[in-house]
Amino acid sequence: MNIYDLFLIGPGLSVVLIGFVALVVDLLTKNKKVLVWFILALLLVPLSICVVQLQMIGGSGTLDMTLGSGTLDDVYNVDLFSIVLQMLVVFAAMITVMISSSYLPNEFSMKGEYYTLMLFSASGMMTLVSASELILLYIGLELTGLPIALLIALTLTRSAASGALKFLVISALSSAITLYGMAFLFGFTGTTIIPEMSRSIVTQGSIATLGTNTIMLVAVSLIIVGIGFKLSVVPFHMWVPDVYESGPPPIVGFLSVASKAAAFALLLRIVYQVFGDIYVNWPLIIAVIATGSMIIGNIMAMVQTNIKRMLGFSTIAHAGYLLIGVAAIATVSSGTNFTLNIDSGSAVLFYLVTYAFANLTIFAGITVGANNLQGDDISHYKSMIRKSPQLAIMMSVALIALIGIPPTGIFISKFYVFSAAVEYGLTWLVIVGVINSVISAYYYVRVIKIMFQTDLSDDESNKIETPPLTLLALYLTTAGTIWLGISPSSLIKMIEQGVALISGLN
Amino acid sequence: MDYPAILSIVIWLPFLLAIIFLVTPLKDTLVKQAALAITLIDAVLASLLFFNIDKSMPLGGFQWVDRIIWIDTALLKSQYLVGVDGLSAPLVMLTAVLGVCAVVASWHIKIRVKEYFIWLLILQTAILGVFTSLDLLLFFLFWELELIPMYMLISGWGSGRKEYSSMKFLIFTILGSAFIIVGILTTFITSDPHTLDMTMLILNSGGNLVQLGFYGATFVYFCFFIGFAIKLPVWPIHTWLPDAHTDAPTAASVILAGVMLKMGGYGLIRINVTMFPLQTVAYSYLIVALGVISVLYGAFMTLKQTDLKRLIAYSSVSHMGLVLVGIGSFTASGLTGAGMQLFTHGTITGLLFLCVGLIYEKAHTRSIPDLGGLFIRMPVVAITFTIAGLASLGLPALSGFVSEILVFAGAFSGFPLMTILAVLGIILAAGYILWMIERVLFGEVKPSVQNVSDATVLEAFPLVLLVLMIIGIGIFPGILIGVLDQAILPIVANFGGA
Repeated sequence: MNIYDLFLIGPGLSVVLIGFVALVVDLLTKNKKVLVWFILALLLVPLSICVVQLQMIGGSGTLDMTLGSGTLDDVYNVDLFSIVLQMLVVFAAMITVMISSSYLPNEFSMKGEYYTLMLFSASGMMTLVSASELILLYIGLELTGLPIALLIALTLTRSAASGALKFLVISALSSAITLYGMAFLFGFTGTTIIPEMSRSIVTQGSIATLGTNTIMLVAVSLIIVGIGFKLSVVPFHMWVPDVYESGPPPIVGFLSVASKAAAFALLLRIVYQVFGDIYVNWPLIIAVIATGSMIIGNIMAMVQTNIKRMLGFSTIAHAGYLLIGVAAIATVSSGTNFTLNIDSGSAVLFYLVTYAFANLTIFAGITVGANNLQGDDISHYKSMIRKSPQLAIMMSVALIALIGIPPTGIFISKFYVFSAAVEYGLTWLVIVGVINSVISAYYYVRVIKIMFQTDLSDDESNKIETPPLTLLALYLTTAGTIWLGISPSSLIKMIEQGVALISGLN
Repeated sequence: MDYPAILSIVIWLPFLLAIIFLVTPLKDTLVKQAALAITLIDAVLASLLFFNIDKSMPLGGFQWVDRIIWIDTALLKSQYLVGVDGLSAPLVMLTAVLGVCAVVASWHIKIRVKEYFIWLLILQTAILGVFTSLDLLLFFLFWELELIPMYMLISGWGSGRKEYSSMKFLIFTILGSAFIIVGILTTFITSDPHTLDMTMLILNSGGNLVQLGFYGATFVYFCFFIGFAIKLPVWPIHTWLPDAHTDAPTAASVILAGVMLKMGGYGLIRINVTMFPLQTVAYSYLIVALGVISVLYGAFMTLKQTDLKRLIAYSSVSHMGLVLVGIGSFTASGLTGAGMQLFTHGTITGLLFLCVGLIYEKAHTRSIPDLGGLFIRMPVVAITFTIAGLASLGLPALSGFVSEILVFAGAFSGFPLMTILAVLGIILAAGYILWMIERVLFGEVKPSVQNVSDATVLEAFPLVLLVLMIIGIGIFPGILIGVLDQAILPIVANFGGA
């Protein structure tokens, strides 16, 4: 392994190293502000490696490893798809660090551990988005989930412990189910490397006979169920509201954005590279899950009084919208075969990016709220516009984005997902999605309304001071939301090329 | 005549000022003056466009077009594409002029002045954008952009049950948007090659939707129809309007009734009629019937109102019903009448709301039983109110008359019975308007209006402006009809209508 290969796996590798370094620095320094700045500065390293990789990538859209003469490229990919997602994860990690710095109380003694665990989890996600080999993917899954469980428990309160336990059990369960499904795939194809699987399936003869094969049906179902837990979709969503309510808001924000992006990346990879050759009617399964997620997520969100629980259900609903795109990836052609398309996959990926910006803004706001308000109820955010105008305005922008109202990124991405779905024959699902967007407006706007209420006699002494780093995080994410709403073209082009690469549909 | 980017300047000028307000710490009086100055400039520019429009353009011909590629990917393709034709030019001018009126009507606002004007200016840009955008995605962007400012204006500076009304407005509008977005998506995906460019879609209106088939196109047609009908509003989906009007601050009422309702009518003509002529003809009975029901229902409801704002709100339902009758008739005269009704109703209702706003501000009541004898106390307002009322009931030589006559003339040949019923609405209008004027302006001076004063010069300025427009159009309707015909005649001619 030479320097060039190290550079290729650099982003993920450096995040792990930064995690270790953070642990050491934490021991050496008393002033924890230094630690935060130190981590933030170091996190620019993986980000810049990604940028350099983007510059080097050229027309082919992929960078090949020198070691193993090509075999490694099937195991660990460095291409536009993975780089975009890795940048998203690193960005989310940076934002999380920024908002955590003011959230963690001064007397909290495990700051070093907190950041280290978060970075380990980030490296797990980065593995997930790059890997295309089952064992590596499984390691990525575990590395993503376990630190999060610890992080939720780290505040050592009673509710945190129960939330963490719930997350841990669900995480272990879903990993086990995914692993079981992977075992079936391995048993059937004789390889753990995903691109080879598809070759193996194709060479084993008629795809139609494979489709009726019960083993394939079981394998596909198990994988969908296992990933379904990670995606937080109905009916595997039970843990979401509880964990969202009990966990520290920065970590929950990180979980809802980065972990979801990584899980969707995994799903996209498997769908494009394996499911496309398996004639089980999985698009219908996914469409049904999407419908359930949107309806249950939105309706349950309407009746919540706790803002964190509401966001928990909102994230379930958004997973539903995302799954519309996944379901639209394959269309049945000629009765026994799927035709895959790039548009739907890139729509999903673009949605993930825009959703990340909006959701991080909200969680940054909630972190400030958690420190300064009496509680987590929506009603506690009353008159936010008086207490902290900037915070209220930026949170409102994010909420408007989550409804899908222009000029925000999620509007474009919703339009993109929906038009891909109409294009590839899922008009009914789009109608369900649109109706759900209308329902969702009710509960998002309710929060805006409460924040803008001023008839209450709040005196000036009640002002909320937003810490500078959190403010920076809010500015960055809000700018991202607006920017992607106004100028989405260049990112979509990059994403299209990335998805074309993993789908092999150039 | 060619001014580069002049249309974009008209659209974005208010927004730009809103951004400046957002980032600079200006004094309240300066905010008001700056808003007035900018809206005035905007109104002058918009009028310039109106008076210089080229009347010889064919179908799909737009002027002062600004075109920039916005989104360019494998599936999604969209442009920043704005332009005006004879249909939108009057509405752009109307929006800009009512923008000035709204700013003046907001002069007395004292709480959170800067925030108020930011919302008002963003609203202005959003509505101008709706009337000028020629790309469906851009159109929808502006359509949605209008939502939040209006919601904020009603819920923040309104009166009465403002929370309830603003939420109702929001939910109804978002519901309408949902239908529109489904329509846009389907139109986009079924056009070949996929395009959101309205100038192309209009030209191909027969051809590009062929792959949808008649019933597919009918589905899309009704998606758009429901979305626009909520905005217009059409019975039975009008219920948000009286609430929103009643509880909104004066300026928001002016904008709401004056131009925002017109977005619905504009959408119907621009998209439904132009792009789906077959469906328009096939379902014309339904459209005219809905129109007539709105006319009559609105008129009857108006008769029993005791709140001035609510009264005008219901009269708007009635008058917008006439737009639908004109559209459904699918004749040159009917469509021109509908387009003209959009404009004239904007000026008339804008004026009515301005007067009511002044009365409410000075007498602190809008309840008709508490008012009386205002003619003695505030003659200027009373005279304008009377002129607006007379225009609203369709008195000849005032603008309302011309548009209504055109609608009736267009509709009568195809739908004689329905037209007669609709004319009944005009008789009812005479009833409720005259009765209202009698109760509010004449008779003995009630105690609640004992000490009211007349409008100041600044307050009278928009009143005079709108009165001039109403009388001007009433006497010289040819100016407006000529401009409208540039857009309307090719639509009708293209599909073999007369």
